[in-house]
Amino acid sequence: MQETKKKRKKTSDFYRRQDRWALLMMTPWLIGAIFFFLKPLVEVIIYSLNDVQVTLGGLEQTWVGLQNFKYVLREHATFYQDLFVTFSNALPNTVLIIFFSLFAAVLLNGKFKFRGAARVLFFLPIVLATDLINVELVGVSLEETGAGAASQNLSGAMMLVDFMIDGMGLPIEVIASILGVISNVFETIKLSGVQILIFLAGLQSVSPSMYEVAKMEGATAYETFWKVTLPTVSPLVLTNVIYTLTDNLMRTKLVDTIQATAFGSAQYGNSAAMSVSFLVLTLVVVGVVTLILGKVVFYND
Amino acid sequence: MTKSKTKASTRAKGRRIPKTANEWAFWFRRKGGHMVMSILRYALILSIGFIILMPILQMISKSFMSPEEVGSPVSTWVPSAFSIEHLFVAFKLLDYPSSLAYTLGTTALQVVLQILSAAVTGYSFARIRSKKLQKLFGVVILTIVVPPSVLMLPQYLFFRNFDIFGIIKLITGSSINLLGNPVALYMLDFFGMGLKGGLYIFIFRQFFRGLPRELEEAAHMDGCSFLGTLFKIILPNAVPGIITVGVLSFVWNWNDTYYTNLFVANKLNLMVKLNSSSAGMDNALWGIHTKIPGDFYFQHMNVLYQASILTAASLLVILPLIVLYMFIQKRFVESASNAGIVG
Repeated sequence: MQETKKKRKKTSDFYRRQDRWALLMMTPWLIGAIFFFLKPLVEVIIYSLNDVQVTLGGLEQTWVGLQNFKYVLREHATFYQDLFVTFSNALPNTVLIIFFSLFAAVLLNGKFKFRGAARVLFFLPIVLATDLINVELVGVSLEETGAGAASQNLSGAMMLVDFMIDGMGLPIEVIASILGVISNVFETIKLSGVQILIFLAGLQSVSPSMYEVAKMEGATAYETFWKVTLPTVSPLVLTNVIYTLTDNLMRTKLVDTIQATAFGSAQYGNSAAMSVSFLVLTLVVVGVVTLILGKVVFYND
Repeated sequence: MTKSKTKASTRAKGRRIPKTANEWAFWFRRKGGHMVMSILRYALILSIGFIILMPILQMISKSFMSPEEVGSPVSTWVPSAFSIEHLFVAFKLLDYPSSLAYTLGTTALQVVLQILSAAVTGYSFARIRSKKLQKLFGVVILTIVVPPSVLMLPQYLFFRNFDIFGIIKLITGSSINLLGNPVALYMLDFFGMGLKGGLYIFIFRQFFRGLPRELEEAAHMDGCSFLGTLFKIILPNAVPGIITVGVLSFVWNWNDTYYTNLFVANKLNLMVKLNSSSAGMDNALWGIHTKIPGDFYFQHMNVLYQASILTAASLLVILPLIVLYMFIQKRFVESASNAGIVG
């Protein structure tokens, strides 16, 4: 009796000590979160409402209210358009990437010869996730095609485009969409490495007994996928969608615009307003997607 | 006799060519499905694998092509004459040995800092029982979702006039400019706010939540301190997570252009070097023309030639990643699949 009491006391003592230590170990992150994340976040919002001048002594701010936002969203030449393009590209890309990565993960999860080699190959895009590796198959932009710069760059793709124009008489819009789909395949595969990894890890954690039960009950592979596999990985769909969405949004060329506005033309207030608009839109989109998917996700615990 | 007859008849029945759609479906489900699926699977894997490998193969082929041959319609894949000119010029252009050493060093340090901070923070989040502090994990999620470029301006100003509560200004008379100084990056990494730092904390937290608490309780019973438990028991058990995060962190830091452009403006970093030379290829190539042997093709104004040099330079930049992946691929694939990124 006394023994168990002593033991319990010791465990609770352990938990208290563990809590204290955990808090202590968390402190660097907490400091970082305050000084490198929350403080800049508040600052950028303040800057966006001010006219900011960088002087020798520091910052000089004059309150201008929403004027920066008005300028950025209504008058700036490209920002509004870029913002729209960023989001209208990110959403379909996310859907494509999620479908492809789930498909690839299911493909890699099965038992077959050379599975190890196939996995090594499919994870390669993670390592080579860089803009340095360009898609060279399409390799020719449409402007070049139109300008007839064929003499300089006669690759296989170029010949294909030429053939489509001259040989098949396809209108240039059709060719553009074909090229778009082809280059999207590359982009999709290039950006799905981590997602495949996450889905694969999820698929491996599905207990084999679930599949056994499904098999005993006479479920087909198709039914098993929809009734067993998909529900189990559905929380990961949420994780993956959020990851993919943010990853896609970070690849926007808005970054260049924001940077150029701040450091190129010294319009710090406008740059901050751009950042804040981008941030708000990001949070809204991610929030809405999370809400919608949260209703569909199935938690097993 | 009767027995064998029934056996034969059932066998015949089994071999009978299916007639109705239902029978076909049944047959397909039993036999054909498997075969078709495996053919389909290999075909898919081969074609996707080709798509993944093709750009790299193309880079390699372009890098080894002799300059006279580039753009010729006859040779698209295998050059008729191999030449190392592109690679040699790119090597000189990047100042490869010194910038490689520098980039390897800084990236390795960043990786260590990121792993350490993410592991410790993730572990704390996995184990802390106070509900209020657990809610702080929302901030981690927020750091994942908020694009780093949003914080560019304040962070830039912060590091330009770096100071710790005015202490440094008190001592030296002015604040320090940490721009162009990798210390700024190390600081971000150490405090868990580096490139994709939130994601690593997330991975580690999920991983540690999968470890049984009894492990630490037992260690406590045996008189092990908290730090002792963390470094002797928890971290050795977290090797898959560490490998996953380590590889991701190395790769992303290596390929990163955003933070390096903002904070590491000194020209030794490979990515910065590549970006700055690709922005002004004419001048960059002219700058090294004395180091190029006379019998080279070397036309520093030729656009096609410049493109080939850039391809070769890109290949040199990602070469360490390919080598790393070759060494670590087996461990990585295993760890990543078992790292318990899954909640």
